[in-house]
Amino acid sequence: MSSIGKDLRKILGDKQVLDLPEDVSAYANDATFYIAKKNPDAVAVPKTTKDVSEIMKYAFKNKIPVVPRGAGSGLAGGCTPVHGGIVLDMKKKDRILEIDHKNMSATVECGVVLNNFNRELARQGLFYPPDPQSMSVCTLGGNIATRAGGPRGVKYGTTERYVTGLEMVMPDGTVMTPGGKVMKMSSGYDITHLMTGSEGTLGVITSAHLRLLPMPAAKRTIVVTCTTVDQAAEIVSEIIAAGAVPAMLEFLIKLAISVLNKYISPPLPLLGEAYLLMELDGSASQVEDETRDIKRICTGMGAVDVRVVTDDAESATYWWARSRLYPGMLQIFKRVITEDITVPRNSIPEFVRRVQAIAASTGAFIGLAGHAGDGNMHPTILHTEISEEMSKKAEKAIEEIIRAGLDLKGTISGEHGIGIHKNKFTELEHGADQIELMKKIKAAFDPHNIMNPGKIWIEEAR
Amino acid sequence: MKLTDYSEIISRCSQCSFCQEYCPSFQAMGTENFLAKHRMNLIREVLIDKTMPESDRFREILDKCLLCTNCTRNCFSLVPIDEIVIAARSEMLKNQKGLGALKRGFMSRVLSEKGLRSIAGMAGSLAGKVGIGKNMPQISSKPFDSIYKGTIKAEGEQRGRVAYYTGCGSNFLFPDVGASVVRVLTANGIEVVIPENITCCGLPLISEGDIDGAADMMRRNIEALSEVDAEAIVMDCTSCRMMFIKKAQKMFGKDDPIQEKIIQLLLKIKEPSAYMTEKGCAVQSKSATKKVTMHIPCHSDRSAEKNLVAMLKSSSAEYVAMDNPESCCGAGGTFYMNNSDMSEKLRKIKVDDIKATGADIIVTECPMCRFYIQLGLPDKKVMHPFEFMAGE
Ligand SMILES: Cc1cc2nc3c(=O)[nH]c(=O)nc-3n(C[C@H](O)[C@H](O)[C@H](O)COP(=O)(O)OP(=O)(O)OC[C@H]3O[C@@H](n4cnc5c(N)ncnc54)[C@H](O)[C@@H]3O)c2cc1C
Repeated sequence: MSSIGKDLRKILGDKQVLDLPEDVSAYANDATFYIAKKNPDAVAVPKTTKDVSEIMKYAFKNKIPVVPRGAGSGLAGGCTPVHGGIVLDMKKKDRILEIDHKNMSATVECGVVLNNFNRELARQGLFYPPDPQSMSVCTLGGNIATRAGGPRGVKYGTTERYVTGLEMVMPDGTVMTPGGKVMKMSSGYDITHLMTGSEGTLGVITSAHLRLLPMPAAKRTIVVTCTTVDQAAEIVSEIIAAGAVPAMLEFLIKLAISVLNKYISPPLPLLGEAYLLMELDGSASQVEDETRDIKRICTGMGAVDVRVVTDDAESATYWWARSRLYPGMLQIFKRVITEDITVPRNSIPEFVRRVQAIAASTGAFIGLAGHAGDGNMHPTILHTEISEEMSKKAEKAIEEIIRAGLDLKGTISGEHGIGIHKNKFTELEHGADQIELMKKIKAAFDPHNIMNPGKIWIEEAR
Repeated sequence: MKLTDYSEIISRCSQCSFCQEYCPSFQAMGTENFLAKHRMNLIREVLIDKTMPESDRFREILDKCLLCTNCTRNCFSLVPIDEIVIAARSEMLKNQKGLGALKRGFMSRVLSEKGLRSIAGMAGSLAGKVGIGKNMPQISSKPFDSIYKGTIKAEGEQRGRVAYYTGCGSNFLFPDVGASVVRVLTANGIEVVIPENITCCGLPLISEGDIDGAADMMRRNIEALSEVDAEAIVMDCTSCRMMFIKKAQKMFGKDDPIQEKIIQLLLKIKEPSAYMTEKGCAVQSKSATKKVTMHIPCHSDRSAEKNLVAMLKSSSAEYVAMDNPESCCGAGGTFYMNNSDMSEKLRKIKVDDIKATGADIIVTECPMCRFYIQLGLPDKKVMHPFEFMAGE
């Protein structure tokens, strides 16, 4: 029993603390286990904001690192401890506090699972667009802390667009409530949106006010089969340029479809090298018009096939399978490292060409998928074996991909966050001055550097 | 099914955590140390890489798996999680000594060749010592196979002939289920033969890690069923079907001559209502005017339940689906006997879901789900779908 565990038991009671090695090792990693894996000394499972506040006061006083954690589905090594300390498992703070139709706003605790939230909203005819593909398990707290996005980013933007206010606990235990239910706010610094995307490095998000939309009246899935990867990228660009705004616009290579086809019913004939998977939504007539426009663009540019899926059950199989692409790739490969470079949308074709060139020159096997509609691509390093040689190739490929993305005026992370997965590249993206400013901001929130230390940028020796 | 067979495949886990949606153990306990994914990581560290000791806590975490298979069925990386847990328990069975070992190997000790029959006379003694036997379903003094033997003729024009593999549930615990299956089949022109020499499917044994013991039973079953002259072998229990369809081949070496017999049998094993649908039988429920809902046992492959629901809907009864018919009821075979805290939490969710439907009758194929749900829902009636169809 660690002394931290003993102390936490005094604060929370026995049931809300774990500190046996067999237990805490469950909190050593997220989905990027190959980069980060380190046990915390103890795991605390707060149920109330007061619990969180008490834990933070204790940690602040004793300068113990604290790492907030939602579902642990992150793809950046964000919720994994670098220096041990306490992991805060936030999943038990999981109540939907209010769904306010008059303000089209919901108030939720941070541990609410996105899909549970979606189910409740659907029952009430409401809609919360952000759709990270881990929605069956990821928490709204994790989504907010990473500014998570997903296929709907193209039309609806990502999480930060929907957060209007928070309840949060500062590193010293102070509880604050920046923002609110108001739709706009020009009053003072925007603490709400500074916390949004802060990856647990500034404080603990305990609940949030989220903006809601009415559920669109109609939806339709379209699958476009393209002869080449380049052609698919060009079509994406053209669709955007033509002013069409699909709700989702996903890019997938043949390999991905061949894995997902087991779950798509009926399976898609593998007639092309790349595929675009779209959903249109809006009023029935809007969806009709857009279907026609998109069909025209795709056929005009030489797509092999444009399939308009009219059966709801069938479209659901596409989206369900799509959400499981990452674990699905493990059916074939030994390791899969997913990047989330995002480029200005007109640069997608060029970015795709560069990634292909990088694959050729480094010898790494790179898959391409992505929420292409918003410029977010997921070049994926597919390992056929676990070896030092393969890791070296992967590392080289990742670095070159990142440089290519930045060269095209993109960002190294469109949605996953930085964590420790890409912390050596943030300075490359933002420059030393901005990183210095970020560090000062962190110090203002967290003078003892106890909140999720070691993330976002490379830490100076402690 | 040896752990060494899985040492590579276990690393295929992408750590995506999607099993949080499916793992009842995680849902009841609420923390990730009881999640399917973590069990894989621990098994690798403790039993494969041996970087951690085989501690009591490790055993407890593994024992808190219900072997519901929900994670495995939904794992996109295709990690056979339940089988890896079984293989790990098999190692634990070898390694553990004393009362712990006695408790761990309880079912495999008492079930032996005769299946549940061997427990009948011994309630109390050994069972009591290891804390098993509380809240056990009563073993019937008139098991199904003491009443039904040989061939039972079809009524009217004969449409087909099946062998009925009677699992322990329908034979010893709820012989009325066996009787109902026979009644519904024969009433629809199906001749039923009760095979001789069959025994338990072995699931209680592999759950404890006694893979060899389970394999012996399975071999005996396969041999016995291969002898029967029938166009199909019907099984009314989801778990028995899972054992034959999903596990039997894996329990024997690739070159074992039994494999050929298994392949032949797999073509014939069916859920009885599916067989009847194939034969064009129109089943009418005799339990008209009742409101009925269905609990889907974790071990169901879902196709049988779809068929049963279709049948219930076509009958005159009113069928109401519950919100989450697939959520685990907490029974997990005999799991609930040792893990009442966890099981009761899961059952509460199930019972609330059932109550919200307003149904008078709950049907479910699994005898243990049935027993356990009934305990938590004393004023409703829980039964097998075939009892419902035969008229309660
Ligand atoms: C198969 C798969 C598909 C994915 N698809 C997408 C996708 O399409 N889009 C996308 O954006 N992401 C995706 N992800 C990544 C991940 O699911 C998201 O980043 C998600 O938002 C993480 O939520 P979580 O609850 O798992 O958070 P965690 O992984 O537990 O934590 C993520 C970060 O948030 C911090 N954090 C968590 N809770 C709090 C809190 N209450 N207060 C303060 N900080 C907190 C943590 O410290 C950490 O830095 C995917 C992951 C997988 C495995």
